[in-house]
Amino acid sequence: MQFGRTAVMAGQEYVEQNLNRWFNRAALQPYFNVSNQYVINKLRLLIFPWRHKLWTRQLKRSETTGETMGYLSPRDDINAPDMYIPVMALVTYVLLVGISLGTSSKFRPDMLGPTASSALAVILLEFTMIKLCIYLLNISSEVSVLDLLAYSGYKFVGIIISIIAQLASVPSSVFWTVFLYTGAATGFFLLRSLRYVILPETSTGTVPAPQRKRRIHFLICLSVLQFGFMWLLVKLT
Amino acid sequence: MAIGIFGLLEVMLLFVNAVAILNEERFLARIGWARQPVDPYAQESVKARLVGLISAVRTLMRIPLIGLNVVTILYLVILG
Repeated sequence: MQFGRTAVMAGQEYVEQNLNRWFNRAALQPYFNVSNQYVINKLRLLIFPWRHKLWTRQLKRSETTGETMGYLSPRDDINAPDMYIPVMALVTYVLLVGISLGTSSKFRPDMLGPTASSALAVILLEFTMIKLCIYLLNISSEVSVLDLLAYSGYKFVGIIISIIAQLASVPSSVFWTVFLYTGAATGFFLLRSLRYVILPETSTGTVPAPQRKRRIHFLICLSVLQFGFMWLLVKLT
Repeated sequence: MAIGIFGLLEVMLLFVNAVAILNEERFLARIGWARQPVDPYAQESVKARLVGLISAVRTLMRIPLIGLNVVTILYLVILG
């Protein structure tokens, strides 16, 4: 029995070592620290972001000194990005594409993989574009990779709503209204959320005027591009 | 319209290849995008950042690109 336990522990260590090479579990952990209330409020925010006032993320202060420990986790701060909603929305999207193909009798089980791959490719493309523009515009913010992936993944919520509208065989004008509305809501959500990343209001002085204009243009282009990305993904069905 | 992850990676590899084979003296100097001495105190414009990025890709990525291209070619030849 002792030997069995040793073997199991050795196996667990081996798996964890190899998994940690790809996953960095400690960095992912705070993104999944969500509560039911957070998920409901965040979904409501994604569908109706127009009335929300305060978009800044709150800093986590340690007991003794000042603001040393980064940002609050999603459980305590509605504005914090999480990975739970994007991951769930991505899986739901893949399943909905399968359902939608099934209603037109074009479903084959080996289409689920390429669909997921296409969705991930759109996310990767958007992430690459944002990273490139952050480098070119000399924006010195410390936004992490997972933050950007989380913000990119929020568009799947709007895409899901559009696909449901499509599946319910509503007339074409209703579908277009739903699609344009969810696109605008996602674009506005991203605009407000990324504003404090791109235009940091730190104490190192404000951004000079021509740079500020360029950054605002970048933000607006990004929001408009959300329509394009969402259209790409809705059109897969 | 479905591209997929490998399609996107191939496209990115082709773009990086294209940047890596730009010739310094025949092309970049002609259009004023030649490598500039780095001035750490200058507030960099978009063009300066772009020129820096291109020269960094050309300097650093030429050798890894050989390996990546060989791997991609083998993958595409073997797996269609």
